[in-house]
Amino acid sequence: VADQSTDLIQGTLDMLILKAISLEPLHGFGVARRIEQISRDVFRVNPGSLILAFRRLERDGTVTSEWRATQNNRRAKYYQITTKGKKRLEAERREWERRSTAIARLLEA
Amino acid sequence: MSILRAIRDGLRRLTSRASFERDLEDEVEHFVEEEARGATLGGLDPGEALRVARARLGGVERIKEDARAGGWEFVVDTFIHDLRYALRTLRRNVGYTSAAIATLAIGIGGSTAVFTIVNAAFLRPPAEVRAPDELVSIYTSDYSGPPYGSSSYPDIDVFREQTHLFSGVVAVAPRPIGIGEGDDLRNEGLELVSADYFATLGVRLALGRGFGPDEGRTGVPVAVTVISHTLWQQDFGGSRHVIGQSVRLNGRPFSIIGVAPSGYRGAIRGIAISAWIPVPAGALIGNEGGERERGNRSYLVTARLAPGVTVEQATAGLATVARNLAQSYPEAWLDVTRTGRRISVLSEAESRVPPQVRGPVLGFAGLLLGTMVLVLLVCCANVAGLTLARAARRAREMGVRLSLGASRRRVVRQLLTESSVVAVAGAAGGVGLALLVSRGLNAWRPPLPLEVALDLRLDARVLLVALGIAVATVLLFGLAPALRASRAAVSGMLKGDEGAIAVGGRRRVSLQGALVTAQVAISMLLLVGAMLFVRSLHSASQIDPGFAPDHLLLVDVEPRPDLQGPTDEAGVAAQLQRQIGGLPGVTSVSWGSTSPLALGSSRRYIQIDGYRPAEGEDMEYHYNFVGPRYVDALGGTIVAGRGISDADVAGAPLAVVVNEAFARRFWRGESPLGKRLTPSEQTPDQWHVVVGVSRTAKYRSLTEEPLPYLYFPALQEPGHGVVLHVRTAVHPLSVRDAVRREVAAVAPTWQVRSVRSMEQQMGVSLTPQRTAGVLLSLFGLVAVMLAAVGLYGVVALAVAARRREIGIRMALGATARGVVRLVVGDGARLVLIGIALGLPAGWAIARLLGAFLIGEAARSVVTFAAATVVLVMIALAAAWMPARRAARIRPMMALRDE
Repeated sequence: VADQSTDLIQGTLDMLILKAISLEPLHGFGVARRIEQISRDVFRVNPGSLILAFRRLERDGTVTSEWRATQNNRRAKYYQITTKGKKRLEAERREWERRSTAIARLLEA
Repeated sequence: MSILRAIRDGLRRLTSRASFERDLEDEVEHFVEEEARGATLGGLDPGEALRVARARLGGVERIKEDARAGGWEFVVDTFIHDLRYALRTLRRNVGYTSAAIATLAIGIGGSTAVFTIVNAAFLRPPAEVRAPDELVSIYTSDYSGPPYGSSSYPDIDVFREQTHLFSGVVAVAPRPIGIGEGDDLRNEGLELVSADYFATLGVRLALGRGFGPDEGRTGVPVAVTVISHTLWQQDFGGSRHVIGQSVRLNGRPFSIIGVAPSGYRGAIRGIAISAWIPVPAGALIGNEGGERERGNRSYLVTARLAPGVTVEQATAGLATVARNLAQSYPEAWLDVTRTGRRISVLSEAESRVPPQVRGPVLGFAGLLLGTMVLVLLVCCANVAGLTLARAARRAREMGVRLSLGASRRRVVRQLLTESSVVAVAGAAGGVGLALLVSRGLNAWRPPLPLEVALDLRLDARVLLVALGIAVATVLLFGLAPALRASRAAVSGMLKGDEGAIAVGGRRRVSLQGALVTAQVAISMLLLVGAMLFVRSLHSASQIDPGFAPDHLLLVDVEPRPDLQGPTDEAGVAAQLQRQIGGLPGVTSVSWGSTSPLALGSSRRYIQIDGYRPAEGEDMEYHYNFVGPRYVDALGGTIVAGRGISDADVAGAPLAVVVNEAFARRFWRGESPLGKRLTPSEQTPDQWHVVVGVSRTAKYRSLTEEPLPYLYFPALQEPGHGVVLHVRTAVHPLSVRDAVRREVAAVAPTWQVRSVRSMEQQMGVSLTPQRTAGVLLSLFGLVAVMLAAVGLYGVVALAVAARRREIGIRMALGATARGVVRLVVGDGARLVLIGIALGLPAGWAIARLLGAFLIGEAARSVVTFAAATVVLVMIALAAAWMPARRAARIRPMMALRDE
């Protein structure tokens, strides 16, 4: 399995997860799929890293979780972003844009 | 806030582990199912889809492990888990566990005990003393030059005046003393001290007060004393009404004004003091302190530096004081070089070991510590060997763990946890053992004139060292096997392939072999050391002391200081000589002011008629004031002229007997008879005429070089003390009571202070060698036994690993004898390498120990040969047992096992 997501810097995975659940609560697999779909399979997320990241975010208080039934009636853990999580996502997004703009400028120069 | 949350979450996870695990399981399972669902949509059948999904996820257990590894609770949890697992596996393997723990307990216990002694003797700051780092010791150089001598009372007053250097200066003189009376009379230690003693040292008394200025006034003895906590407990039951009661010191009642705190046993480390009295009160107990004589240097000096003053400043300041004193009092302050004496200052830490004996004492301590470190290393090597063997047996378990996704770090941690459990148990056992040893040492009273007392309690420093040793041992015996086990080839181990173990194991066996080799080498070292001391003790018994030590009783007699009576020493001694000489079983009697090979001896300045000393020549010589026919009673030999006789009485021409060493020194090639010499105090018209020459004997120690020595007639110069020398035809101690009765009859106001045979006294003079011999023999024995166990282990392991090979050999016609030879040969090779390494090290040790050794032992080839033979024998026995087992291997069984 070519797992390019390992190339992600640690903070980036957190940001992508927060972005993925910023609209609606999702379970772990849903988050993974959403990241893969939206990135057009550029990023594949290792489930282990993902679960680990959820634990980290829960501990930081940026996400909360609850067990719910899925559409096909199976128990799954849904993650929801908190106010603190939204603030952090916003901060990280700004920081990311600042950097990527800077890098883009450097590459165009 | 977030820290609190982390702690709360962690605790919740720890306590509700089961639900946490279930959640994790569910979540991962959900992932797998969703993946699989995607795959079935792509056309795979559900079973196959699930398999593919799992494969894509890359190890479900691995994911869980990653998720668990998130928080601090994980570390705690793993530790608890590892600990439980370690306890379980260790309990299942009682043989390994008890052997390892016992070995470590010996190593850790022994080294902790040795460190306890070293700590008590050198490292621990004095107990119950305020700010000991401000204290210094002050020394006046001796007449003949050595720098660290004691000081005189008037000089100490001058030191005390240097208030810009010192905030206080105390004088201390330790003395043996009789405490109590009648049957309850005991010899204990006393300190004569200046009145400011307790105040300056900052010792807070448990009860009562210290001495006041009135009690320290020169020439005005006041019978007051501060007693030790021990004496208070023993004789007064710890009663608070002890203040104002009296205690008999040398028979004289002293009023108790204070009780020292329990940890305080006097100013001099190692000597247990039971009572303190002011210096002037010494006159009451027969200890004229000479407080007015500047030439009488019998006080040790401890001073407290004034705030901000360094040792260097104090030294510089006292150098000026010394110059002034030499100018004002040339008589007392000029030494043999005709220049002034010097004053030295040492910090409290530097003066814990009396500087005169610093070299030998530190050497002995080094020997002790070095030996102990070696034994500890042997113990570690041994346990490492055991652990390696155990790791080999657990190869399959490790293989399973590694292949199921345990990380290498995780496996190492698990194994180290097991080692730590063993080390902690070993350390606990070791500390217990150390407690027992130090308790035993505390109870041991070497036959010395003053009670030796070291504070051998375990303090924080000792426990810290024990802990450090335990940690070091874990690393030494646990890490290497753990790393090795975790690196092993998974596939071979899982198959239980003996071949794979043998390949991985070839190295392992050789690592164990190296350990055994090291053990043998160290054992060799210790064995050589032990044998050197045993031989040295043997040579000591072969040394001719120059007199006959058997059938000789030594009796110290003295006037009882509390009773008035005849103190005509010469008269009493002469009468005792006559009366005791008439006892049945006694062949001859005389007396000296001292006896050979006693601890301590005096020298006096000697001026020789017609001899001009060279610049700086040391003209002080050892001497003894002896009664008539002394050399006969001692069992020595007069080689020319006559010995001191009944003719040498007061009023007769002054006589002296010199020994051959003295005669050779000053009158080589001439007859010494008729030559003249005089001690310095006497005016030159009082020449002593040499009337005889005695054969040179051993006077201070058995190992001394020939020592020039003088016998002066006690009847011409009485007042130096009486040690009766009673030569018997029967066992010397059997006339002890008869001698006591004669003393009581002849001189009712005198007492017997001590009775011993000359052989006992010689035993005391050999105490250092004997102690070292016993210790090294003990350590050597332990090391050899451990090495034997280690060798047994390594050979047994090799046999297990080569089971199939041996089976094939036997199937092909190898005889049982051939197999034994093969296996024992492998073990023997290790031992021979160890011995080859140990021999030069032993040689080096022998040279280092030279100072402690007597006779030719150090260069003896026999010692090395004997140590080699002993080791080889033990090693062959250790290797032979598993070899015999190997010889019984049934070829078919061994081959079918595969």
